[in-house]
Amino acid sequence: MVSPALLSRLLTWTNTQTIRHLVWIDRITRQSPRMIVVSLLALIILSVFSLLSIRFETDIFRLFPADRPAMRLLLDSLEWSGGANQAYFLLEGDPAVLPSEASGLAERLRSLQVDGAPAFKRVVYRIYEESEAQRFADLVAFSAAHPAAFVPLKDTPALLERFKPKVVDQALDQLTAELAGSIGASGVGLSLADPLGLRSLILPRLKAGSQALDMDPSSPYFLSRDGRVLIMIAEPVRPVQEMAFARKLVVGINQARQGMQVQVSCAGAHISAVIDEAAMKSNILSCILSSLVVVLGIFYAVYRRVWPTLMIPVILAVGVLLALGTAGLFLSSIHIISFAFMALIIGLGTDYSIHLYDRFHTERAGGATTDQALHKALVDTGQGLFTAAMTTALPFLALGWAEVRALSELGVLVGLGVFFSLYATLFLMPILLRKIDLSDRQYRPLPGLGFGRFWRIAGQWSRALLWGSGLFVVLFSLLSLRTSFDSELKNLQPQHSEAFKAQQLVEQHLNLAPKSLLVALDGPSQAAVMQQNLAVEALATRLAIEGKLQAWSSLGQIMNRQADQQQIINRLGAVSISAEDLEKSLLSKGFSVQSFEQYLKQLKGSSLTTVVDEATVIAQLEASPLRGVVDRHLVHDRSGWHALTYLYFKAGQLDQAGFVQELKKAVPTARVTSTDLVSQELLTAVRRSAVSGIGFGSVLVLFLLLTHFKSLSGIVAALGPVLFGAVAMLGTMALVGMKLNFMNIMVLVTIIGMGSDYGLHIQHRCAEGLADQQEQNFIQAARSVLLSALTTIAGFGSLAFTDYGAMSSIGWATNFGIGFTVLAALLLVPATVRLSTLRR
Amino acid sequence: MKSLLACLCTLLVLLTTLKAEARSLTPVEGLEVLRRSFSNLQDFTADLTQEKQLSIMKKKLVMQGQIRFKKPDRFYMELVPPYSSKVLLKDTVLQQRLGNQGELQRIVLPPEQGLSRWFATLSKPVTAVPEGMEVRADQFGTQTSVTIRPAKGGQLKELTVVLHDDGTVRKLVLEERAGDKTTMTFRKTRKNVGLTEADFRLE
Repeated sequence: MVSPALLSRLLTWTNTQTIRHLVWIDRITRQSPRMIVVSLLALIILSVFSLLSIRFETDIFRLFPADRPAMRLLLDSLEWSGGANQAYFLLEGDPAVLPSEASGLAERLRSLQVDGAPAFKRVVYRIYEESEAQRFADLVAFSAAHPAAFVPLKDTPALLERFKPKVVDQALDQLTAELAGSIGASGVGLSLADPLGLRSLILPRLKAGSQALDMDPSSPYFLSRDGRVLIMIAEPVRPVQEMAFARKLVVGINQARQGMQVQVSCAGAHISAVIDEAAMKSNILSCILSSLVVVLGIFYAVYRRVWPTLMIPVILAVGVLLALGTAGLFLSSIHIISFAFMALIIGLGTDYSIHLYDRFHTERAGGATTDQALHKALVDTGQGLFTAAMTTALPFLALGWAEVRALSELGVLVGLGVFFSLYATLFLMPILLRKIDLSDRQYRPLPGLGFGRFWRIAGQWSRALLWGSGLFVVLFSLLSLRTSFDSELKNLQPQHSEAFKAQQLVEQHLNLAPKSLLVALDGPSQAAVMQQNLAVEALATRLAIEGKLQAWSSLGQIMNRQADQQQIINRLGAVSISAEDLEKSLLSKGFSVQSFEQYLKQLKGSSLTTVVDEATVIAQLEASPLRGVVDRHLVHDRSGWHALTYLYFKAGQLDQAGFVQELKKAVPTARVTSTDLVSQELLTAVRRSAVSGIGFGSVLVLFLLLTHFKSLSGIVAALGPVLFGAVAMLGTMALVGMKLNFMNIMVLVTIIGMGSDYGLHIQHRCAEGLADQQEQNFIQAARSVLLSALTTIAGFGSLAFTDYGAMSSIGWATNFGIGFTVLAALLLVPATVRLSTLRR
Repeated sequence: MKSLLACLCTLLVLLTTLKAEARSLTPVEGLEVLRRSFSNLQDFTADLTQEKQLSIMKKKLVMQGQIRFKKPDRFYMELVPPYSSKVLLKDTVLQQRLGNQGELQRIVLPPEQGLSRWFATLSKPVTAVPEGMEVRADQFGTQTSVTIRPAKGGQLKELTVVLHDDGTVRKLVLEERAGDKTTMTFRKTRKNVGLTEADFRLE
């Protein structure tokens, strides 16, 4: 433990060093302004070089920790399924025109060129593609020769029935009718492949197993059951992670879907990020510009000074550049969303110019010379600014350790931006003011903005104000108990983005169930993962029987494992037809036996009663139009083989945590993911970051406030309004139905630093001088505090109106918090000051 | 293949209503006359006798039925027992039902094989024989025979249309590379009778 005497010495030393540091800044800005400007330019040049080494990312998935199991599997599955690379077009509109519109779009996409070469390898929107006819016939031939590999176990009796002589005759009559009714000789291929029509027992299973979405089974298109949404899948010739290619591709896609009679959304993990990139950039740019305009407007409206107003963008630009340059030293890439930090710096960084200029102006209006006024502003107000900036910057910087990149990057950039904005203000504003200030210039007193009345009310009603605020804290605390947490990741996305719209459409029209789980088994060989997957399939089968699943799919659902094949064959052995019998039947029905030589040869080789190796069955499926089903459930990549099982269920139908436990018991190596599991992982990480951030940030803020005030009353004055603001923020969020989420929960950390500034400044100024002087000091400090709160609100407010759920929620939460905190600081701090003066 | 045959077959069926020129024709002239005659047509029906000699069967299959067509993209064929079946082509969507209770099969043809696309092509004057296609037209007394050999690669080897001098087609013959042959003979052809959507249903 640190002894009180040592702590006191440490605090005194820190305070003295801060003052000496500020005195040095005052001296150097007076004596060597050119050296400062040159040094600053050198730093800016270095920052620009550092900035050029940073890669800017747009991929939303890079914002979340990829090392968590569920998130890792989610990202893996996107790569495996091609979801990361493919482009999905969702056409929504009048069912009558959907097919023709899809046909037109498909043609345009097929003819789309990028860099003189076709842009897409394939464009698919129909279940049956004519080019796949031969492959389909080959699969039918294989399955008809080896029905035990595909006929569902429950349909074994129906299969046995098919080999009875009478039924064989009926099948051949049916075949004759099919040949007669088909156009030309188009039915011949399938007839030769499957003369007994066994495919009617096989194809329904294959078709059902190939459904990843809830589509209309009677439609020849990938069409939702309500007929309103049609899906088209397009595979680009090059990876869409190649940004130059992806951008050109997106231009082509946008041209291809122009003037259509139906709405076309384009999705795909990466392609939609590229499509939304432009919107994202303009969104952030408009945030930055709008907040800058509002902030400069506020400053000029109050102080009516052109040059200081114009100096603010310079200070902010320096702060932002140095922050990015410094971040570039330890960050290899920055996500484009993190650029929203610039809007926050505009709001926060302007505070220092306001406080500094306000004090300078007030001192000049009071008769001080330029140097005296600047000394007061830099050393006295600067001391408050220094503490305030540190209390703001350090909690943001503490977020740098957050496990969620979205938060850590934003925290580091804002923290650094605040720090550099403070120094840019302390160095540049005095140089400018000395340059433009004339000794005979008249400084009129600044408007009091009614804060004299605040001071008087705070004196007259101090107890009532303090009790009333206590009551409000209790009330808001009760309300805040109703605050809930929104763990839906999609709500953090831009609400009008392609990705969001596509996701909504899939949820509304195509999902097999509202929720899904993916189980992956990894292994060195296909046989190993298929074998292990039996346990997962058994578990899924049981859950489905118990009514805990809406549907599930794995490769085992469209083919029989060897044990099942054996069961069928055991029963088939006694009844299956011989090649000789079939030959006779074919002859008697007028068929040419030679034409069926292939099928008969397989029968002679006992194909009906031979167990087929699983790898052979999978190879047959892979070579057929159903290869998509194989690709969805069995993946081979550099790390080995992966068997995938998908489970679909309604909310509350399946206990996911229980399932994960049960799965781990059955197959310890199984990996599992779902949106809920990813959300849980994120929530755990965010909660950990929030707790450590609040803890670390609070300790730092407390230390800084202790250094500054060296008294409990000063700390209470600084943190009391924050407590009020934070509780009121949560209560208001509950009142307006706004939820906490992965992003805005961090406002609870940052509000401590940002909000403590207001009380700090007022307490710092009000504690000085006699009663009359206190009122003037309060008016000056309150004006600065109000203006700086307004500029902060302008910065965060611009975020509140963005399309990004993540940014917007931070904007609103911060604005609620800042609004209530500044109100509390302006009313409660003078009330406590007046009350303590009265007591003395 | 199935779809290509369906479209060509449909086209040929339509030719039953066309008027043949009573003179020797060059390939381009032959195609152009067919196109011009077709331009006056809105719909038609005809009775059909279809004979199939398939390589996988020793016996010849003989079927009776009816066909219907309506511009711009409807075609219907119904065969009666013992080989009863119905085929409906709505532009690119081909549906077929065997018997009265058989399962409905649906196939979507590529847009370029859609019925409306074929007729859109036919609405333009023929100035050259399409690349890779061979056309031969011969006149025998009161009948004209036009034989079309599509570009190589498909299963269809040759299509022959036999026209009467009154402009109706008597016979269509489809020969495929595997040796399968289908002959369709038409009678009681009626043009522009005002067919409606109700005439193009599989129920």
